[in-house]
Order: sequence, then C-alpha cells, then structure tokens
Amino acid sequence: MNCTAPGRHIKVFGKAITCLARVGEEIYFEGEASGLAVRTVNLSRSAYGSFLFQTSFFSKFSLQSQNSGELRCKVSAKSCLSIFKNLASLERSVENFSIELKFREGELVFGLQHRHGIKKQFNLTFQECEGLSAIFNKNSSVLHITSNQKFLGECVQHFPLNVVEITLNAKHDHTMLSNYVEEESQYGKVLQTEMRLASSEFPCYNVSVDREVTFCLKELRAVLQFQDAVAQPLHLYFDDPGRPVIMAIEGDGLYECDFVLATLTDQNTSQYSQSTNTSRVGNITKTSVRAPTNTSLRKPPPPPSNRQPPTSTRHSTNNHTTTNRPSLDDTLEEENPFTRKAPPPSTNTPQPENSLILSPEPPDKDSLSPVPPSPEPGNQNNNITPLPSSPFSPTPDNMDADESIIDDALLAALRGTPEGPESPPSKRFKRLSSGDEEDSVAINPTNNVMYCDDSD
Amino acid sequence: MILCHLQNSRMVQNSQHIFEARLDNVRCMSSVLKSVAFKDYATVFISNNGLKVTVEESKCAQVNAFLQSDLFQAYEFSSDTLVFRINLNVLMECLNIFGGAPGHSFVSLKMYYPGEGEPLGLVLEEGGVVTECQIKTMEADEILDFNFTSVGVQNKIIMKSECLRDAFSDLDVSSQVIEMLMSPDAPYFRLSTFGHAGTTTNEYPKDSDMVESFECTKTQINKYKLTLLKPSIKALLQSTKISIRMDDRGFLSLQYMIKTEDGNTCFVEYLCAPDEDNED
Amino acid sequence: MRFKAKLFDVQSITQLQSVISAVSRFCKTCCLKLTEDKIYFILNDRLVCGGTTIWCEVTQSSYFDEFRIEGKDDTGAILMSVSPDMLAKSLCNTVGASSVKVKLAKKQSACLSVEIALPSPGGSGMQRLVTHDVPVHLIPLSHWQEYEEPGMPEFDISFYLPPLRKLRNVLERIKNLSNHVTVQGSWSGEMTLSVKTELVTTKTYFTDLDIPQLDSQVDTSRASAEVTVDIKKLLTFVQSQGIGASKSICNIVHNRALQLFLLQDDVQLQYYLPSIDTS
Repeated sequence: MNCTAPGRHIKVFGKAITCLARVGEEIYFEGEASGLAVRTVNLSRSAYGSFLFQTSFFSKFSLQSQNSGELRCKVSAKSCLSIFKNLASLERSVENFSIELKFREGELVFGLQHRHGIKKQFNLTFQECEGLSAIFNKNSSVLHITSNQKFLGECVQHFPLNVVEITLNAKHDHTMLSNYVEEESQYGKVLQTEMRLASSEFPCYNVSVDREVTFCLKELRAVLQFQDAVAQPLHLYFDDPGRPVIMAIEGDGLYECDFVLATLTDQNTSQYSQSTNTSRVGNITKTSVRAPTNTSLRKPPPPPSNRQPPTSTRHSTNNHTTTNRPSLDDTLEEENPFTRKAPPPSTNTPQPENSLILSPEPPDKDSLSPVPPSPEPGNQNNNITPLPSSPFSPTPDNMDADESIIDDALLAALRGTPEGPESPPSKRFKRLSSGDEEDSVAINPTNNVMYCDDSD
Repeated sequence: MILCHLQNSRMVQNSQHIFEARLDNVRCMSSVLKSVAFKDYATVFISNNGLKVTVEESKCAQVNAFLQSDLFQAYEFSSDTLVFRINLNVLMECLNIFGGAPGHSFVSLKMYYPGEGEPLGLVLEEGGVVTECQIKTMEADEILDFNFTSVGVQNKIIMKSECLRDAFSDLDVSSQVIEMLMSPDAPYFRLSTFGHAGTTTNEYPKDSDMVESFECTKTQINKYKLTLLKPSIKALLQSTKISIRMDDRGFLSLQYMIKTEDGNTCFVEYLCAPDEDNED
Repeated sequence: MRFKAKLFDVQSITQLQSVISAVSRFCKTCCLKLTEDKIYFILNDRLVCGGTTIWCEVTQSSYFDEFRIEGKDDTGAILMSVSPDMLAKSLCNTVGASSVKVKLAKKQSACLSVEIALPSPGGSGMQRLVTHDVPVHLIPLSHWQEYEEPGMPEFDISFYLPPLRKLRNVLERIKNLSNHVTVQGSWSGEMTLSVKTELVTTKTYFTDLDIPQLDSQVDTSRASAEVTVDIKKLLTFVQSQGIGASKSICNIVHNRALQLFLLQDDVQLQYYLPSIDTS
C-alpha cells in the first residue's frame, strides 16, 4: 500500500495520530478500498478510536495487493507520534507526505518532503496484526447530541486535569457534566465539579429519555482536542449505562473519525485493573440539580421512576466491587474468573436494536455488522460474531456459567477478515488482570476461540 | 552607602589584576556560553585575543566557545596565557543573575582575575542594583588536541542552521549513533538514526537554498555517538549558520556562527571523533 | 452556621483568585476564617518549632457584592480547613462570568460550593452553570485559639522592599547555588542578599530603599541586622507579587526571623519566616 497526501493535510493527519496516541499504545494502519484506516484501542479495551482517511484525502492512493493481510500493520504509537511532534513547523514546511507499507521488508515508511528540497523519512518496523475495527451503529442510539467546535472543549476545561471519569447526565432540556468519584472515601477529599448546560446550546439535541452515562475523560479530551484543531462538529451517541458512547466527527468528505468508549455499568465487576482502581459505584449526589433547594441531602434521592434499574442498584452501595470501566470486548473477559455477570441493565428494556455489536443479541441484526461474514457460530473462525446471547464461546477455561447478560459494553469489534489461508488464531487477547498471556495483544478477531461457539 | 561599596573598591582600577574586562551587555557573553553549557565544568583560556571556554566529553568530543577581545568594551590582559577550570553552571547562574531574558534593560558586566589560584570576580549591574560574585577556580587538566586542520578536510558544507533544527531536536534517543553521509553524489548530505522503532533519515540536497556552500570531494559515511552530538543542539539553536566539515580520519568539525545582541559575531566549534564500533 | 456570598464583578473575581492562588503556593492546607468584615487565610506552623506562619486578611466588601454570615454560636465567625489550591482552581476559569456565588454547604460532606454563571457566547441569554464543591473541614471552637493573629515580634530593622520583580530574578538564580540566603538590612535604606558556598559567594546590593514610619517604641539602636533563611520559602513570598500589592515591607529580627508584609488597600499578607539554624 502506498499513498501520498498534500502538505496541507498534514495537520489533520498529525492531529489524528496525536489523538490516537493519547488513547492506545499501538496504532493500526490498514489500507482499504475506501482509503486508509488508522486505528487504536486502549490496553483495557475500553476505548477504541478510528480515523478513516478517504481516497479523496490523498493525491495518490494505491493498495498494491489483493491480500488484505499485506495491507495492514501496527506500530508503536510513540514512534508515530514522534514523526508528527512539531506540527506547527511541519505545517509550514511540508509540501507533501507519504505512507508506504513495505510488507516484505517489514517496514511502514513515512516520507515527508519539505521545502528547500529537504526530505525526511521514517522507516518504522511494524508488527503483523489482524484487522481492528468496531462495529457499531450510531443510528440506533437513543440519544444524540451535537456539539460545535470548542463548546464541549471549553466545558471540559472546568474539570481539573486529575479527573479520570466524567458523568454525562442528559435530560430533555439540559445536560449535566460532573466528575465521577469512584470511592466513597474520596468524598470530602476531592473537588467535585458539575456543569449545567441548556439543551439549546447544542445544535442538535435529541434526548428522548433521561440517561446518565459515565466514561473516561482522558479519551474525551483527546477527541475534543482533535475537534478543536479541525473545527468540525462532534456528534455524541449514547444510550443506557453500560452501552458504549460513540463520538463521531466528519471531515468534509475527506475523513471520518469515530470513537467508541465503554461506559460504566453498575454491576460490571470485571477486574481489569487498569489505571484506575477497583471501586465501588457510588453515586454522586448532585443535589443542586435534582433537589435544588435542599442542600443538605445525605442520601441520593430515589431515582426517577423511568430510570433503569441500574440506577437504583447504584444506590445500593457498598458491596459491589465495580471497576473503572468495563472493557469493550467483554467477550474477552469470560476468561477472567472474576467476571461476574450481574443482572444486566437492560433486563427491563427491550433488547435494543442497538448499536453495539457486542450485544447479547442475535447477530442477525443487520444493523449491526457491516461485515459480511455471517454471524453463524458454526462458521469458520474468521467471523466476528457479535455473539448471541450465550456467547462467548465457552472458552477453554473459566467460562463463566452465568451468561445471561453480557455486559453490552463489550464492544468487541474485531472484524475477522476472511483470509484465504486460515488465520492462525495466533494471538490471544491479553488478559490484563490475570496477566498470563505474555503475547502481544493483537486484537484478534479471528481468534474465535473466544467468539465462536462450540465449533472449535 | 557603607555596606555597598566596600567590595567594589577591589575592582576599581586594581593594577594587580592580570585580567580585567568590561561588557555593557552581559547577554553578548551569556548567549554564546549557553551553547556549551551542558557539563558542570569547563576550562577557561584567557589570552590577548580573547577568551576560550572549552568543555570535553568522554575524550571523544570537545566544544569550544570563542569570545574575542573586541567583543568587550574594555579588555586588559597582562600575562601569558592563563588557564583555569571553573564550574560552568555557577558561572552561568551568575552571568544571568538579573534574569537573563532579552528585551529588558541591559546588565553590565565587569570581570577580573587577580592571579593564579584566585577566584574569578564578576560585578554585574542593572538599574542601580549591583551583584558581586567570586567564583572558585581550579587547576585545569590537559585538554585534547584533535589536530583538526583544513588541510585534511575532504567534505565541507555551509548551511543555514534553521533547517537542521528539527533533525537535531527530534533525534531518536534510542539510537546509539548518528550516521552522517557527505558526498559529491546523491543524496549529498544525510543524517540517519537507528532506534528501537526504526530508522529515521534526513536528506539535504546540495542545491537546496538552505545550503550556502557545498564542497564535497569524496563520499564519506561515519557514525558518531548520539550522546556526544546531542548537546550540539544548544549551539545550533543560538546560531544562524553552521559549517560541517569531515576530515580524512572521519573526524567531524561543526562550526556555529552566533550573532550577539549588539551585532558582533562569535563562534562555537564542536569537534567529534567517529564511533569506532562497527556493527557486528 | 451559614455562609453565602456573591460577586458580580469579573475583575474582583480574578483578583480574589490571585490572592488565593498566592496563598496556595505557601501551603497545601490552611485555615479559612470567615467573619462579617474579613476573610482570613491562616497558616500557623509555629507550633512546630521554627515553622513559618502566614496571615492573610482580605476586606470582603472590596470583592463581594453580597455577604451573609451566621457564625458559630455568637462568635460571628466560621473557621474551616481547606486546600487553597482547590479553592483557587475552582475560581480560575471565570473569564466572562456574570456572577460567582460561594456558600457553605453540606453535600456528602461539608464543602464550599462555588457556583459560576457563564453566559453563553452569542448573546442567546443562556447560561452555563458550573458548580465546584470544595471539601472543607470545620474547625471546632476548642481549636480556635491556634488561629489568632500573631503578635508583632520586636524587630531590629524595617524597610520597604525593592521591586519584587528584581528580587525574584535574583532569588531564582541564587536558589540554584545554595539553599540558604542571608538577608541583611540597615536603617540607611540598604539591603543585601548573600549566598556563600564552597564554589561561589555572591552578594547583591539594593540601595535607596524607603523606611516605613515607625512608632516611637521601636528600638533603633542596631544599625543593621541580618538573618539567614531558606531561599525557596523566601522566593515563594516574593512570587506573590501577583496580588498586585502596592507596598511590601521587610522586618528583620536579628538572627531570628524575617517578617514580610504585602499590603494593598484591601488585602494584607503577613509572612513570618524563621531563620535556619546555621552553624
């Protein structure tokens, strides 16, 4: 794969790389018919980011291979980042830049042609990998709001840098943003910030039911920084707690940006410990909002009746161990003996024909997967099977018996690309908590050991 | 006014000092010395021609900053060449004692050296506030003579410093060496690093308008330890032009032209021996 | 106990924020005392031998448009311990704010709730409301005597400091040479800062300094006095120039302490810095 883009596009490209590097440690490059996809997923698989640069973004674009395995690779995010470190000066002096995947040599080559005849080239060694992509459907999210350039970015500035997670509470006429406090012991020690925004501040505010979701602020900041640089509107799609939040930016037909972030569910007990620690789900009483006059409330007010069960269980306190955030590909989690599948938030709701792939639903929702392979478990290893309710394949070991609901926060993504010769399920997902897999973490879609039902 | 001037009298017209110099704007000196201030200690040479401040690294690299006598408003020297060793960090802090940022009022400097074994004296003044410093001096060690002469030079390029800034600021520190290629044929001038993530190359064609002079006679490719060359970025940032020369032994000489605030030109030279370790 | 206050003038908000920010550089936690006329930030480390003390007094009416307090019992005051840094942070993004309200509240725990109203740009009349709850711990009456105003020690020399910017530049450089600095002053309006180490000695002379008016009880028998203190702590004080203080005074208690004052119409910051026990 070989493509060249004009110098005026280097800012967007560089900002995209910077954004992805803030989320994940590796960046995946994949040449597709529609363009170049640049993606990442974070270590705990709770955040996925994707930029698809259409062929119109490039002055030259050629795939040079029919074998999709030779059209993709992953490289260290840090090394990519160092290429685009000094964007201000690159913007001024780069005339054009190119990206070439030299599969046989094992190199991803970035070439920058500067003014004055100066040429720079970065030959990055890459790792082979399987494709990485998430399947999601924005249209089936219940809530959609759009924010103009800078607006959300300005709002988020009111939150100190050490805030890890943010809660978005959307009501029909306003939205509240607040910092999420994991442990009750933190009350009385941390600054609690809350911001109330009228719905009319958003160019598009489509909130038919009240919803509250909590997700990682770090990734939101990364996306907002990108939004600020390109001055395009940001679309936010979200649903019940536990279901991922999708953020999308469209770049005038030149590129598309999509981020999928897992949200906290109340009973997600998987133990990925990642940067944040295991916590209890406390509820921050935003008394100033719900009960404006009563400032001495100690207990959270009872949830509004139309709220989802999760909310009420949230108040039940202390004994749940909850983690920071569920991974998007919970599927992986079943390997984790500690995963407990608690009564799913969605028991009361009709299984939404909802976005996220990983839903426990039968994969036949075509709204789901843009991907061809049929979800039939019986299939080849190569399919992404948004799993049916008894999903996740009985994996070798500790398959947790109680499957009733898999956290639909699991976005497992992974699109298997049906390859000619079989794709060795070479790499297993790394299980962060048990730490037994040393292998690198390919997000291996074809590792259907996980996905596939008993066909193996 | 008692407290104040007791010390000053040491300085005034003291014919016992073997060296005395005066500068109306101390930044003319501190900006040049900034390029060599990457090690704690330096060797200072004082002669009739001016000052030379030398810093060495691992016996393989040497940097020299030249402050010629006509840079100073007054320069008196009555001895043979003087050499001493001094703590460069301390010297820089003292020279910058009133802040060091350009654009504000000028800070004047008087420098004096009473004699061997005595501390180097500085008197700085800004807007009526005076600071006196006495910096300990020590015996100097031998410094290297790289024996780099123009006769041995096979390749020489003079170019504008700004185009090399990115290359040097973003050096991949996971690479042990910088490889430098100089050649009469393409790619003419190339810098490469080989780090964990991969290879980075920077190529500068001879007809680039950033290149002022190109005299290369023979293709040479040499490697230099990255840790030795990295500090040269300081000189690069202060300078307007750089001359790159490689001699027949592969030794590298980088000469930087620095313009001071009052329009004078000073030079800093970097000498570096090639890395002998060949890949195995 | 109740406390509720409002500010409408953005300029005042910014100024108040810079005062609190200056205090935050001295300490991680301090005592905030609210009374009808004044707000105080107090740090009293004297309990720890040779500790520093900070006393910052702000006339509330210069900043607040509304100020209502019901103190503890009949004292008319409320004392609480708070992180000045958190408080300063909660006030730092107030550009364009139409109002700031501060009140003592009890949410999960006692806190100072700072509510900022930011009109949306575009004149739509909409407002964005940001609320920061800064956790505080109320100080019981029994401990209040620890936070009394420190008495003025008997000093030997007093003078107005030179422009703080100059002082700051010098201190910032010499702090890299040594941890201690000797401050010397005389009744003739001269001050020196000296540093002495094995490698270097430096001495900076400031002259023509003004002398404050003294009352007759002050003992002026000593012509000069000096004290050696921690450079970094002195630098922290000097960096508080952000307050926009119009006057700053230095009192030296020979070989014992430095007492520094930053004075402005409605803000007074007192800093007591004991000497380092050298030699």
